[in-house]
Amino acid sequence: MDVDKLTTRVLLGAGAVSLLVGVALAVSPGLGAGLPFGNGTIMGIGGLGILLGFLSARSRLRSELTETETPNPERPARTPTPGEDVDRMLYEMTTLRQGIIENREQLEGRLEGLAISIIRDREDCTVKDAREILESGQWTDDEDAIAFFEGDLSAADQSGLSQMVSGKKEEFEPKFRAAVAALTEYADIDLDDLATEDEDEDDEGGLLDNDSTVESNWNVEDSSIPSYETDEAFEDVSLQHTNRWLGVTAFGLVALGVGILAFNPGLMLAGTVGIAYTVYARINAVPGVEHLHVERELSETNPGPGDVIEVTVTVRNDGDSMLPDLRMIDVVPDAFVVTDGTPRLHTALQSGAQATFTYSARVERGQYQWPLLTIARDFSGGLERTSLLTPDVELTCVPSLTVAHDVPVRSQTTQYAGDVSTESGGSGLEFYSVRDYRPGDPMNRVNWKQLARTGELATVDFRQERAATITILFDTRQSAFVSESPGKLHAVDQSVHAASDVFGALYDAGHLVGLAAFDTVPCWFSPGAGSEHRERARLLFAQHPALSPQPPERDNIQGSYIDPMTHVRRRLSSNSQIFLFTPLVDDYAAEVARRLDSGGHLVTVISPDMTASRTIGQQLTRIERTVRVRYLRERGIRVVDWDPDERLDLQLDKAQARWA
Amino acid sequence: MSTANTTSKAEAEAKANPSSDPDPGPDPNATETGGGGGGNDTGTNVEDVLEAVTVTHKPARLSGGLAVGCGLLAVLTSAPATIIALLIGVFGLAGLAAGQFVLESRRAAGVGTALIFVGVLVSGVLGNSEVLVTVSTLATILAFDLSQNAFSVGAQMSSATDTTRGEIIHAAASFFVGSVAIVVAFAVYFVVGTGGQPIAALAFVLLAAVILSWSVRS
Repeated sequence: MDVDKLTTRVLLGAGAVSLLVGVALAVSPGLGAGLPFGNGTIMGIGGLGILLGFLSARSRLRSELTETETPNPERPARTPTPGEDVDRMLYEMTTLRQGIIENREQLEGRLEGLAISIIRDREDCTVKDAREILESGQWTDDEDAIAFFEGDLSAADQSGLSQMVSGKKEEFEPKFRAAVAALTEYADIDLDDLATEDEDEDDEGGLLDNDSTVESNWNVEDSSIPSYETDEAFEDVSLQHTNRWLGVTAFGLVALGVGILAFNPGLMLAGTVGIAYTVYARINAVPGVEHLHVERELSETNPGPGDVIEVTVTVRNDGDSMLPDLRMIDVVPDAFVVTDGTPRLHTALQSGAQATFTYSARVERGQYQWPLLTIARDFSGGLERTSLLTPDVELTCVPSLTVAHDVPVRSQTTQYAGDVSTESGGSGLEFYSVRDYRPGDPMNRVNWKQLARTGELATVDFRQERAATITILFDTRQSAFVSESPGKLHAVDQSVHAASDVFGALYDAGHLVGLAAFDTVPCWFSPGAGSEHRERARLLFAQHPALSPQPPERDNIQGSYIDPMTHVRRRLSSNSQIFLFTPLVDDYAAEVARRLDSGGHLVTVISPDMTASRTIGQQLTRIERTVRVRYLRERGIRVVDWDPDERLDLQLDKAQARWA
Repeated sequence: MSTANTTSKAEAEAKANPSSDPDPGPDPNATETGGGGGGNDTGTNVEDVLEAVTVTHKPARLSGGLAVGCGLLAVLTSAPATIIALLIGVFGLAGLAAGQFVLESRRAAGVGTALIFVGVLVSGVLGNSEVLVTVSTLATILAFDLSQNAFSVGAQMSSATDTTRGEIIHAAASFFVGSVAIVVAFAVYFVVGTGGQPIAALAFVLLAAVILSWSVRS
């Protein structure tokens, strides 16, 4: 501070002296001769002016503007497409030449595992036999594909170095592609878009070029605001000089210097304009943003997931001073997508004036209150104040659990009466069997006709109808946050949407329904019945962090590995059926289904198909998923392979016809 | 600008989807399951998946246009003195316009403006009139300010935002400051500058102004 003050005083003194000299020279021209300097000094001043001007211009070129970077809340959050990791590995290997050995080993291991399970599935043999078939190359005619699997076991270690040296690594990718193609053919899997693969692959390469898009899933992370979470109605984020006028002095100084050197009064006058702007840029007033009054109106405060609501934001300047440059962005929550209009405003507000902007957004389940990012500048724009204004408006989006269709339930039941026809006789409606009378059988079930005919007592059994206990289980690990193409609903959203319908249908059919998710955040809601249970489930769908539309934070995953299924398995009652919602993008999910099945639960897997086949990695993931589905079906686990572009109820109907 | 590219790419893909979406045909399905009741409420939300609006961050057009206009004015006002000034100015103007609309680069626009200013200086040295030199300097600085503002608005807002009012107010304020400065400067020049040593006197007065301007910081 002291240095600043001192500098200011020195500058003021020097300025005053030169002003006095100037005025004196102007008033009595003859004085010039008497002063202890001549034209040389004046020329020196001119040269100094030019020099300082260039320095000023240079500082502009070298410095960065410090303007607040704003988020793009309109954009849908980007979730990866399954297989992106494979594409990235290939890209790293071929283009960036990074991690060649590790990536190569990983890809080889992955493809080999896939090949063995495909061969086992087709030839119905042991792992050892399958490996022999794979290495013998009997399974395909493609030489590149055979070479891919031949080389890897023996050559992986040796070739690592020699390939690095000889640069033969370009050969890896074509072989890899050939192997994937051969496996596709061998496993008899349809990959419809194979023809366009090459074009799209280039496209994907372009996408991968800017690493930032691959890394950042959530659009507001692009901004320079550290966090949008605020509890207060008004919060200052930063107050900074933008440096946007830096270098404007150069216009003044250079014009002045050249004007002095050339004895040209016109240029010297022109220099005053530059000096005027220097002063303009330096006179800053802090914009009175705290006096802004913000109102946000929602066309609906309790919409359902997927509804489009209209949001109207009105800002009024209640302060005494004008806000000459006001930039506002409504930081729409990540899960929302702006479908019409712009959640942004750029205007100037006089005292008492107001402005409005409107946009439409598709909402997603959850409870939300979001801030309005406000960037206010003074007249010159030299000073920028960034703050978050949060209107007191809350939006709660809860699924309605409407019943739209039947859901096929398997035969594992409880002792309660219900909807599922069992394979046991008792009281009921549908005829099941006739058996010998046992003392204590109810009189209305005695087969009187037989008694009349033969004189023997017999009892009619009817098919018992029982209620089932059903646990809807979600795969909400980070790996489940994938979508078929960027911007489309991801698997967890699809699953939760579908499950809220399934829940309603099962509840209405009289079953005991519970919810659970396997994830780092434990989610467990015991099966139950009653309208209170249903209401609590509804809120759980909307508010439980494990079912949130945002991927879980990955913080302490390296520390201690805890099997995400542990808490579910501990609480699961032994007679509970499972409806498992998972995109099946990794082996863990399939393993969960298999282990639950061997634990005595009847499992129905509802798997939204999020795989695409535009790139080689996506194709590989699609094959892997198809193999997983086959693996589960083979073990008697029901799998609904659900294409999210079609409606789940129709696919369930189809599946039911197949199972029946 | 890389962000803009990826959006457009994602958008292009998103655009491609609606064309394929109708193929599964939600309508025939709805009629098939008419008995199911409330068929539209099913969880698949085929129709509900509306596409997001495009977000592009191009430099604001109004400020950009005004900046190029100011640059043109600066070139025209420095042209009468000499053809060299005109040539340099035209190059600068091309740089400014290209930086503004084609390359979308702050730096290119800034360098273009600097070239225009060199043209102005040359015209001043080679005998342009005082009024024209001052006006073209003002126009150059306005071009600089408006072009920078166009980039700033483009980056912080988006192309779809209505930014007209904010931009006009900014441009008007800048223009006002420069005009007042010119008027004051000429007033001082005509009052004081009729004496015997106008150059030396002016030099000292302006030096004082520069030094004093540095001490201002509020």
